[in-house]
Amino acid sequence: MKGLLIKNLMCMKKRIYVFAFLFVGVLIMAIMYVVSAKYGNIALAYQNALAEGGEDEFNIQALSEIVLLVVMILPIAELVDGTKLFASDSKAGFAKVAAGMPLSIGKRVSSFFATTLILLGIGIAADVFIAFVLSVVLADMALISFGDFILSIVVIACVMAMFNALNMLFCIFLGPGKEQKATETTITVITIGLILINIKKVIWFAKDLIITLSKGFNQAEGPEVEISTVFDIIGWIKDKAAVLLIVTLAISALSYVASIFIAKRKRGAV
Amino acid sequence: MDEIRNVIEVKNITKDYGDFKLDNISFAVPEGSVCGFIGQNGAGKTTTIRLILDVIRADAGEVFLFGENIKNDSAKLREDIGIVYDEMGFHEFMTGRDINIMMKNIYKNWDEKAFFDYLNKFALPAKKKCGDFSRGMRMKLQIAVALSHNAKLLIMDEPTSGLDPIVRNEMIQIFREYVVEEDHSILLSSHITADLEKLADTVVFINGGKIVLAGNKDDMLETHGLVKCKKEELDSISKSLIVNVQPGVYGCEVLVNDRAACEKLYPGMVVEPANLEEIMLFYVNKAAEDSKEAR
Repeated sequence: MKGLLIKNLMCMKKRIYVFAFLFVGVLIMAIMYVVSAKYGNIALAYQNALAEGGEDEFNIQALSEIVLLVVMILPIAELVDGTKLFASDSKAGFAKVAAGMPLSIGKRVSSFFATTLILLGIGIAADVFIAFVLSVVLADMALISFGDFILSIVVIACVMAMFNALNMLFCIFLGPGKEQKATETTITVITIGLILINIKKVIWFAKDLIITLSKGFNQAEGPEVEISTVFDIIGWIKDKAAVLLIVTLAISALSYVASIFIAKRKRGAV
Repeated sequence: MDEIRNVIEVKNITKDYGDFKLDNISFAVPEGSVCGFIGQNGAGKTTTIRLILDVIRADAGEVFLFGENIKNDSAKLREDIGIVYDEMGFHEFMTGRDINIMMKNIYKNWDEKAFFDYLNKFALPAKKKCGDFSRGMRMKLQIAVALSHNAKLLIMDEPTSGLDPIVRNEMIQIFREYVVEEDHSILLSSHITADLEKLADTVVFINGGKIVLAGNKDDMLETHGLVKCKKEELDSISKSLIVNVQPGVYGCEVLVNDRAACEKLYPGMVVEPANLEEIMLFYVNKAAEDSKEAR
């Protein structure tokens, strides 16, 4: 399996270079943001927003967190994409070469999961380093504590790992050359999952929307349900980080077992 | 006397895809021999090879490699097999060095020195991306990989198709050198019969998912003959000798399955030796006519 791991990492060589550039870029951007939020134009904008009563302290803090989170998600997102491995193998026709090697189907599937796990680890390490710089090295300007950063990184890593685990399962299920379709299927499944989890809110929202449309926007009293803001969602996810971690582990394990099962049934897919 | 061991034994294999069926095929490749697996495109050669390598599973029947059923541990058995396909299969960005790093971590018996010696021998630059190689170079790279882990058996699926005659000849020479070792065997699938005529000890003919002819190549060439005669003379030839009849330049051409008997029975007729290509064509046409009649 080590040989396939090496091959997979060779396939991701270009992406690892892009990741290295992104990592440096993200680090510089994040430092610039933190400095500006403390002493520069962003700090000024926040002071104005507070003075005008548009935002409160909590929202300003959360906004900074979102900005840094979005920036920090980039290096991991660049690295953790198992479909690129499948696409690279499909293009080369490597599956038939692999099928002739003295490796079981289980080991061949495991090599894909292990590779993305290694890459996820590298991405997490990079983000932890950025967090360390922003919260410990630049402690005087720190907007977010190291602990909060770690929590956010756990959330990012969980979301990416879940997405990737499902993506790889669908790549194996749909077969070589269908990587784009696999990603579309993953997005569809996650969207349906989110809708089902929030079905109550979705129904209430739909009802209110119908009422609003039927009465006309001016007469409508607004939705009865409180719609969550992005701050609420981030807060909720971080509160439930442990649950998210367990769910991620469960989905990844399930995806791994199901992938091996499907690959054994289909044969020749990996 | 030692019993001859079969490195490949295919027993009553059936695989039904709906639109194509590999129908109860059986054959064996004895140790130390070269088996030519002949058939036109779509005859079932690649499917059979995929079944032998346990890439796909048969609906019925069994495959034995080196005397062991592949169902037990096909991955372990593949350690002793070198495989060459009609297309390369390695990523185009990979160099010979990259492939060496990958393979030495996959095959227990990977011989790094042998691999680089083969690259030198085949004039393949180790630092050049294999995507920049010509078709001939790509095939040679596959052969270098297949020969560098002390494989006891080479399985090759159309390795010479699309290559110019000079490269094809070079490759046949490489295969000849490989089988000099007593325990080395080759299963060579091809529709280029001229290559097999130079190399094969035994031949297995497959057509439409069925084995139509199998046996020793020299015996096959020795027994079969081509009779060129007029249509009126055709009725005088015993039906049991005739494999198939095709229209020819001066009347018709008849493939007979016992040249010696034909020469003896019909001294006035000219019976020429038939080559593998002619034998394949006559058998394929016969199978087509038989299936037409059956419908």
